[in-house]
Amino acid sequence: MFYVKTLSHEIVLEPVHFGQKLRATLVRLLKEQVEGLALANYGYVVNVIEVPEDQIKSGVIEYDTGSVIFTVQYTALLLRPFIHEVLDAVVSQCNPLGFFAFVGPLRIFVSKHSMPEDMFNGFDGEKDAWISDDKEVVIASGSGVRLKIKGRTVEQGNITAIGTIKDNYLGLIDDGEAQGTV
Amino acid sequence: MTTENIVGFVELPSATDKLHCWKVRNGSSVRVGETIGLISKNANESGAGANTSNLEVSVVKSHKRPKRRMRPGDTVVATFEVTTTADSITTNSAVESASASEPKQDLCPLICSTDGILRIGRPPSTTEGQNSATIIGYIVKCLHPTVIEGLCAVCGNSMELLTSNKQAYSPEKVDDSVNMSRVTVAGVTVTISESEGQRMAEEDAERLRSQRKLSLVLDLDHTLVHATNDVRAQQYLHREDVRNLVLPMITVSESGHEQAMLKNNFWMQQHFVKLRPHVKEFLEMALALYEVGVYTAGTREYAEQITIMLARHLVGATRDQPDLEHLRYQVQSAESEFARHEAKSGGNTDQAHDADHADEQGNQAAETTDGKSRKRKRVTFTASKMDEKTDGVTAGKMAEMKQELEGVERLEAEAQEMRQKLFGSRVVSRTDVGDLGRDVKSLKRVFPCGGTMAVVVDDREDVWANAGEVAASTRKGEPPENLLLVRPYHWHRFVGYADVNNAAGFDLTRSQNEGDDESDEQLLWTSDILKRLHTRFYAKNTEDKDKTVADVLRSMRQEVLLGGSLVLSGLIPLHKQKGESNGPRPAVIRYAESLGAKVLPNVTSHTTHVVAAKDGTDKILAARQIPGCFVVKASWLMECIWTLKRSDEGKHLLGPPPQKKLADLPANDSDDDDDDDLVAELENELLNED
Repeated sequence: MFYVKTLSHEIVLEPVHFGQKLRATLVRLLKEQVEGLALANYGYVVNVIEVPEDQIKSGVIEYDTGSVIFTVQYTALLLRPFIHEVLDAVVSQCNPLGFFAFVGPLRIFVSKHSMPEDMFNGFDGEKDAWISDDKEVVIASGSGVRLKIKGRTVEQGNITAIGTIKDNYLGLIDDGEAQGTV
Repeated sequence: MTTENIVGFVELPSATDKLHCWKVRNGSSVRVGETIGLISKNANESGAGANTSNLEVSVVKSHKRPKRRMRPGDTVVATFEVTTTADSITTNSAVESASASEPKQDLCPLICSTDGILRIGRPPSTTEGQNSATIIGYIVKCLHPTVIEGLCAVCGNSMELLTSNKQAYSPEKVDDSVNMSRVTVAGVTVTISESEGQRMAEEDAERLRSQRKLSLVLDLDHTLVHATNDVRAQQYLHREDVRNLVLPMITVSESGHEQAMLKNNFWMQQHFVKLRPHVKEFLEMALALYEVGVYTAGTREYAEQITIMLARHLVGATRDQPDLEHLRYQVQSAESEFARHEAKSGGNTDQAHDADHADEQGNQAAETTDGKSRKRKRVTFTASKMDEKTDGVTAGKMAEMKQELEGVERLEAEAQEMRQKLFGSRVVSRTDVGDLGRDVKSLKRVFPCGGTMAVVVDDREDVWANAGEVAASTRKGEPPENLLLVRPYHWHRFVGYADVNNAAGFDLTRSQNEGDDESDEQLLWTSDILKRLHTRFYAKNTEDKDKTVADVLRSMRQEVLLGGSLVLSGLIPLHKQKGESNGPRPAVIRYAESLGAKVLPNVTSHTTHVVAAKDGTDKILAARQIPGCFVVKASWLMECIWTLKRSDEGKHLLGPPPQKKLADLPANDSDDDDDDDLVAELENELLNED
């Protein structure tokens, strides 16, 4: 789920920023550019924890434009789905093929084939919810579910994962809205 | 279930082992190296036999049951213990024995050997060399029923699909030549396998049949509404059927992609929408007999807004999104005004301060809840109201405003419900099928397995014809047979205003302006056609599952002009007259032929109608010689198509009506049509007098 890693990023700094606040500007720009980005293989950058001052080496001037390229090393907090990981997610949308759930910016799709057998035919078109045979489990938009990640892909700057709730102890854990804890 | 491909077996390492528990449920996908169960090496009773699934694990690390935050854990237990596999044993006895077993045991993991789907139990047919005593499960190949963003939704493996743009709407091949096709459901485009598509189609068909409904796919622009974003349209807002909505303005950037500009207020643009006459009756009829969906060339937000607007129209709510929020804001600011007024008169400065605070917060709340109103409206209110006399806001007025707001909110809630009932999640917009391109609509996206119970109502045919796939009975380049064409709707007051989204279809009768177009009856005509179609479809016993909507429509069409023999004049350019048998027919010919009439190149004595663009051609002159042959404008043919009935030729005559059929008609060399008719009438009189 979350982990910390040291990454490096190249920032192109225009001459207008040179001056006293160079480092502060660098840090600010780094945060703007990198936070919220989905990096392949690393996951989403949730936060830039630290930019060690001594790590910012001198930048290289580009001959053509006059801007300077700084290679900045920083420690970041990353969110990445790991296969076989169990996560709590919030359901955002149900459709006849399954449902979408979100863990922060991470989108997870659970198909109807990955649901317990008693929910396989349980899509209710009127309420947009997945309902089990005994009507006890109602998965609708806003519910919290515990799911297991089966696969993931990074596309178009977003990470999409495939999940399942078929195994034991997975499934609905919170009906209703506004958990806000995930 | 089709026979499954067994790719591996789940074997116990030796015959003396007993399976302690499964870690994975029957039917779950497994990967190489995954631990799917635990084996106990000891021979004592550790509760479960070889065929148990779904034990409560009490040994080693046991997961805590996820307790629902809202309810206590009892109901959760019930859910998880329900199993439907044939081999399972219900767990009560297993639970007892498991808890009674010794906590410390020799357990080792059972590792999975291949990727696939796990099936617990003896495999259906074991080959002879296997020792079947140790086989407790088998692994079958995943059929990849649903693929989303390149990942199989079941096994999580990434698929390598052919995603070249041209093939976006044709079946794509995945290994083992399983056909996959793209489908758009509730705003997401996923890829599903053929068997999955068939299953979906069967489910849909069953559901529709049980409700005695059919599927209806509607286009929005120029079919149900006429929308424009031209500011001049603002003057018509007072009318009941003209509504406005605010949408983000779309620009086309250099890369050709469309992006909505930032939700910054400045980029919101107001659109004005005129509803077609009789849209309310049409939708009410549709609601009763059809499951309605929308397929529009607009963006997703546009589609959502228009559908809500239609729902509002049905329930009688007249305030649209901008008005609604304006009202809410008004009530809120009036409330805080009132509070402040009270506070001042009560002499408590703290309260006034709070009221101010509340006002600010209300301001912010209003702004954040509504991202779409214009900024201009907001800024002035608080400033001016502070200075104005506050005794204007009395308790009575407050109550009034609150009541009004309540009424409006209630109507809005009703409208939302109505929208859900009417359209559900069956809305497809251009953003959802972006890969298809701007001028293509594909029925396959909505109904992956043919749409045999679906009707489409659209003013344009070419977008449907442009889709690559064709049904078996359709000629290449022609639209599918379950498309019901309607006359494109233009409100005459909006003529000349900018068009939103796609332009309207080609209308052969464009030149004829029908004055005040409240007389536009197209929706009533279409509603009648749909009713007839529905009755016909469900008339015979519904066991006849081969009947498709296309078939029924075809037979309905063929009856309209049956026996008719048409000649076209001035409608088809010469270079298209040599028809190729494989290519698409010119539209007019297609209409005529689908209505059951024969199209001949020259006038013969059997010709019943000549459809012409203008008067005075040779063919028309020849036709006037023939008694009973009508010379009509193209609008007659179009009206036949739009109503699926034989229109009254009298309304579309080009020139004088045809001669009445007589036993002998004197051959006439004169070119003057009037003379002919005069003679004919005289003859008639004479004959009758005899």
